[in-house]
Amino acid sequence: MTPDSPIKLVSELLDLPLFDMEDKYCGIVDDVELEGGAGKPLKLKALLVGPGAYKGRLPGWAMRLVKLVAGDRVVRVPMDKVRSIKSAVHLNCPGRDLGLDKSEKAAGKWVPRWGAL
Amino acid sequence: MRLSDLRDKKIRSLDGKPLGRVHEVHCDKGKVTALTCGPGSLIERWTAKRNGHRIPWECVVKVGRKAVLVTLDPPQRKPSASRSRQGTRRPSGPRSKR
Amino acid sequence: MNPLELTLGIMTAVGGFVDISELVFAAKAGSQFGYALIWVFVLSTVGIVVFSEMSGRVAIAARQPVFNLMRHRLGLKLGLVVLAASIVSNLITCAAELGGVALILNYLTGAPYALMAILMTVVLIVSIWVLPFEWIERVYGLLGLFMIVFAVALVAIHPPWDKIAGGFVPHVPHGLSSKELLTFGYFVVAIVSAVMFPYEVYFYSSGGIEEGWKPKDMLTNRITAILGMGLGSLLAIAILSNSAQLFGPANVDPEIPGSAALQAAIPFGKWGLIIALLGMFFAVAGAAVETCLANAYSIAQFFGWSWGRHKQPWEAPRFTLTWIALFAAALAIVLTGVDVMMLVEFAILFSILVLPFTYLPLLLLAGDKQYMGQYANGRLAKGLGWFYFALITLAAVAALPLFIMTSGGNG
Repeated sequence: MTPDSPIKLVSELLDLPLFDMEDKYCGIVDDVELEGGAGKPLKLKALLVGPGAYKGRLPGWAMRLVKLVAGDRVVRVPMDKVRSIKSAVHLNCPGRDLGLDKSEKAAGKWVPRWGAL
Repeated sequence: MRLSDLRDKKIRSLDGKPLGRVHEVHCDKGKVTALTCGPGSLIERWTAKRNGHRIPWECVVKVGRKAVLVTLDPPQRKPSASRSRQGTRRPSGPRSKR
Repeated sequence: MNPLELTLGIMTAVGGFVDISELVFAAKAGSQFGYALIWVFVLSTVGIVVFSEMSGRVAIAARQPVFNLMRHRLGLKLGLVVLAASIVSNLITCAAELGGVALILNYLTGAPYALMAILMTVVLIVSIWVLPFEWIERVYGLLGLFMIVFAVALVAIHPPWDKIAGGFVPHVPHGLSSKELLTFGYFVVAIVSAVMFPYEVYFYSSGGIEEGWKPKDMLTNRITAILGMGLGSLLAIAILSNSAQLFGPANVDPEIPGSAALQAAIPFGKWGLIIALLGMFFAVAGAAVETCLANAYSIAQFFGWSWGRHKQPWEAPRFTLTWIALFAAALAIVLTGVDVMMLVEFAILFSILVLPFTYLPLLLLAGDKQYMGQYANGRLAKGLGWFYFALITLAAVAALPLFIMTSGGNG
């Protein structure tokens, strides 16, 4: 399936994992950005990745808890970067080009780079 | 707008009749074509089987904070060439009163 | 299929089957009800085999771990509830395993319990940091094979084999008072929970991805699940039978985990005791590692973080920091001084309540041709899956009332 194919956004796109062109796991589709509104065409604009995208999906108190554990970053993945959608979303570019690795990089400063076999 | 602004929102007709909640948003060629609304039970989601009313996007009048308003008189539109997806009912949106 | 890899996989599963909860409840079940609860171990083992095989098959076919798919199927809100519940359940279980290991070290060395708990936490963290995933599993799993001493001890004490055979037939003993019947019911629920702990499935499916299982490994998955867990459960049944033969007639209630080690001491003396304690040490330490990693897998997979011990710790930093934090949290629980037995009881209780929410999405996913293609559940897997789902739901409903009415199985 490509982004232009017939697709059900809730059951066939939302909460799917994301893999970049290097087959690296990049996150989960946490929400979908749409452009347009009532009375005009509503287009698929971008995928939203990161716990900050839960805002419309969780009550306020749950968002505060999630922010404690996982932060509140959101990364925007434009639809033209999506190559295919099946049991996962596959991108046509490296995840780092879209900033999908920023949180891991920030956490990486706390982890020593030695000792493992 | 986001998908989360539509999903699980109550749907009402212009005369206030409740039609259920949005539990699916259909897309084709990168554009939203219809919403499916209905009770949207947990069992339906867990079994990935969806039943309910399919409302063409053209019938959506307003996406409010708490509800989506739709008209039961769809505007005139060109016949669509797209086929229905496997597992969903053929579009059976609100009919005209004639 | 590599025969060496398969053998190692089976042996690892055998050595890693028994954890602190099974150890405690097998010993207590034997002393209180003789051989009457053997069939519950068999029934539960078939259940964990069914769901482990399913979770391995999902990992291979969908190339995604169970918790990723669970969030997609349950949605964010309900997925978060299941995540929170399984974090609590796994954390308490991890604390129980850590406490159990500290207790065993205390028996072996005489050193203070709290100091041993801190030492073991550091050792476990270092072992997960240093060793690649395969070796983490194998070290604890293979060294857990010292537990075979319990099976050997059973043969050595010449038990009534006809009565043991009778224990494999589902039945409720005659002549129990209503209080004893309720306690029997509690033990049934507790054994089902102990054998079918949620962390087993999360760890097994994530482990399959860690090891890079592919469709050609389907048979390996099936054989490892069936033989590994099947043979492992025989160790638990041996502990129960030893207890029935040695503790029951003497009215000894094996309240503390160390009592089980006496089962090997009686026929084999000091060396039997040492080997049994070593087996228990590695089996329970392995379970502590599994519960901690299972929790870290669930959290990382749910939030979409990079995860896995097939990567270097700094390549999946949020996952690394999570499992270290979870060990620290489990240690904090142990250092509050709460009794290990109490931790075991709570672990059992929380787990059985979470079990239906763990297994239902897995059952539905494994039957979904969209994810699984040709590897979707066949009739046997479907039938067994739904049967066990009904069983664990019944057990979940009965667990809390039985726990309260029997004071946690103490009558």
